[in-house]
Amino acid sequence: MNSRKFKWDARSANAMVMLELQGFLERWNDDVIHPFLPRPPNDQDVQAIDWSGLDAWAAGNAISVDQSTIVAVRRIIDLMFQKKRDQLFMEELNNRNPSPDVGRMQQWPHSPLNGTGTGHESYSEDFSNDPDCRTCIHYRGISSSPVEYGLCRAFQELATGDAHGLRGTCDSHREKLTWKPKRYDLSGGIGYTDIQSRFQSHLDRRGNILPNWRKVARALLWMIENQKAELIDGKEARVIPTDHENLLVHLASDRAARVRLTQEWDVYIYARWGGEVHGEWRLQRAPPSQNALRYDLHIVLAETLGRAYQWNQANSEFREWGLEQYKARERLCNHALNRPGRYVTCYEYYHEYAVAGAGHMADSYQARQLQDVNAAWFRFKPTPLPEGGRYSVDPRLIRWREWNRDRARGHV
Amino acid sequence: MKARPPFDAKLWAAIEDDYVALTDDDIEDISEICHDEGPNDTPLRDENGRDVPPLGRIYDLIHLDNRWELWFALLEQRGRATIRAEIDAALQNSGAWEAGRDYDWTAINWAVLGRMIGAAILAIGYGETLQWVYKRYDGELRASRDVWMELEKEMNELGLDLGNALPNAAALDALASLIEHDIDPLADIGRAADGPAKPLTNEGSFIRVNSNVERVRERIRTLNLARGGGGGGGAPAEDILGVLCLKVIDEALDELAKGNHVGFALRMHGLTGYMAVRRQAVVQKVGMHLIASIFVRKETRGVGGLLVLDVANSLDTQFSIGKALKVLREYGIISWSAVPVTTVDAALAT
Repeated sequence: MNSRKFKWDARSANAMVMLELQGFLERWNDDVIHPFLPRPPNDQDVQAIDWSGLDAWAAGNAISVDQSTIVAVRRIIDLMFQKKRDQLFMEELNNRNPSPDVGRMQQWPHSPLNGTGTGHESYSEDFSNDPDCRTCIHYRGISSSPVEYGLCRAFQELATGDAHGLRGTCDSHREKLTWKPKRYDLSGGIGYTDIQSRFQSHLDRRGNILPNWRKVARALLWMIENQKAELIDGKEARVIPTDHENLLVHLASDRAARVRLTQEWDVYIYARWGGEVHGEWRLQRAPPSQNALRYDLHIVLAETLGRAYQWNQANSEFREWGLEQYKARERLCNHALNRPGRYVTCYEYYHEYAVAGAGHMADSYQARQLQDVNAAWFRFKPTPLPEGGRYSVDPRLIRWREWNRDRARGHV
Repeated sequence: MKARPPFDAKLWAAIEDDYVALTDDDIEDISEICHDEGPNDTPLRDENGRDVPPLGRIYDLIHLDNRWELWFALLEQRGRATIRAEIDAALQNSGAWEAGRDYDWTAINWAVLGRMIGAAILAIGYGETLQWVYKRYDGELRASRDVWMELEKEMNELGLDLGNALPNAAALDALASLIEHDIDPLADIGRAADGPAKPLTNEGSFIRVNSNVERVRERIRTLNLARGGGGGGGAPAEDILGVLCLKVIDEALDELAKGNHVGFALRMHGLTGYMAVRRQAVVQKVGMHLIASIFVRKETRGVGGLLVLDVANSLDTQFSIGKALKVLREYGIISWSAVPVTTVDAALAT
């Protein structure tokens, strides 16, 4: 294995993205952690948090770059969140039953077995005794060790018609179905094989660490260094990796080792994917309209980490990526901040993109808000030449810039 | 840059009745020259213009095919609110689940449409006898095609069709399985804003598939069958998928010309929703940025045409801009004209 060590100096000129990551930590700590000290936030604290500061951070950091530069880190970080969400979902299933919808399910009249004693009137969510619908002759299980539950559970909202779905027949129980059981990983973290299944082995034939693995390991190390994740070995003991290569050594040598999110993320997961059901924040059957967060903050964080840690094979060092768009947007905000109405002129809008070497992106970025809820918007209003129009700037982006400016943090 | 915004609007106002359409032969010639000279030395990037007998010294100008203009004229004449209501009423009548959602049906995502067009152009350039794209760039279309096929497979296994809501867990499993094939749709789908082109919409425990995408897929399959390709539940191979997508756009434009603006808009949203995954930087340049420049400037500032030299120098890319524009013209996306250098200089000087 290549044993060279790499130093990172956040004060260097090549530290623009690192400054943004620092900004994330400040926002997170101020808005999510500090209000609840000395205890950590929990999954029921969703509505006590003002998420708008992190929303502004996300708008400042949702930029469009070559996908090949960020996809590896995004995949793995996203997977880590999926695993955590699965873990919390299963905890919820196990700990908070019976659900308030049991009665509604039992009374659903359209079961083909209705009235036989083995239709939905037999529906139960008491996993310890009689798993739901087990007596139904068409039962298809969704299994997960140690819990198994029926497909009709997943289809519950459809079956009861809330989603305008199946009516009159119980399609979820048709015999021809070949349901693949969803197996929840209750560990809540990612291990070597999770990464290997996406990027193959971490070493090439000469024993060098492959670039995708380096990027992912460095991003995970950042999460660990900043208490956003933790490395747990096969004996459930916490381990502190010394650098990203050391992290890889731990993961490769102990296949039961996991990097998992710290508990403080639970509240984010409930805010993003949960909703209030009968006075309680739940992941199960949470109406999406009630999600406190309507965007994937963790995806923006993952992509920012991906841009912070691009592996430069030739120089054997990490480099930052996507810097010019930061500069363009910062300059645009600087113009807007000096004016009432917070706008930039048409000339300024295109000029700043061009100066940053991103002139070709100026137009397509105006459409970006349709494909990315985090993308900052610029709304056009015509004015006569020579101004030729004004673009009002998304207040989230302005807030991002003000936050950085107040901390003497800038990219240009 | 010759006519950087906002002066592109000034230029357009001065020349919109003063350009001359280039002939097929003109375009064949310049695209070949452009290809032979290479992307850095193409005359299309010359700040002084180029000679085109008998027109003299000209700048090349690209603008939308006339059929597109109908859409923008309609928005201006009748207003977006009216068009939105008409589209929503049509959806109510067809029973589409998107009806009544307060979506802005007039907001077509030109950047994503451009990505599709860019991927199609590169596939065409790779497949031409006189090849001008030397590497396969079909990943953009292939990945999106595979996303929809995987979802369809999952729904078939559950005895559902794409008109039904899909259990969240099943949809996520299906999409996550694509990551093993180097396709990563979750992030792009997850971040798409709620609206008419969002590929999948989360409804708590369930996910809804964009019904306009499914209609586009059906049309692609039908067109594929008509040209002798395979049918059934499969999808066309990626090397002809781009051509079929361009054909779908062409048909939608014809519908628009016949007065069916509802069908046009829904087809556009279906096409943009189809492009569920973003992958290749070159496709962004050929399609997303180039096409977005034409459409976005038209839609926001009424700029109907752009100087090719400004577009080419801004993109600063290694693909053959002349060849790409030629294909765009052949498929009715753009028109390609010439404006005398003196006219342009005079317009910008005043």
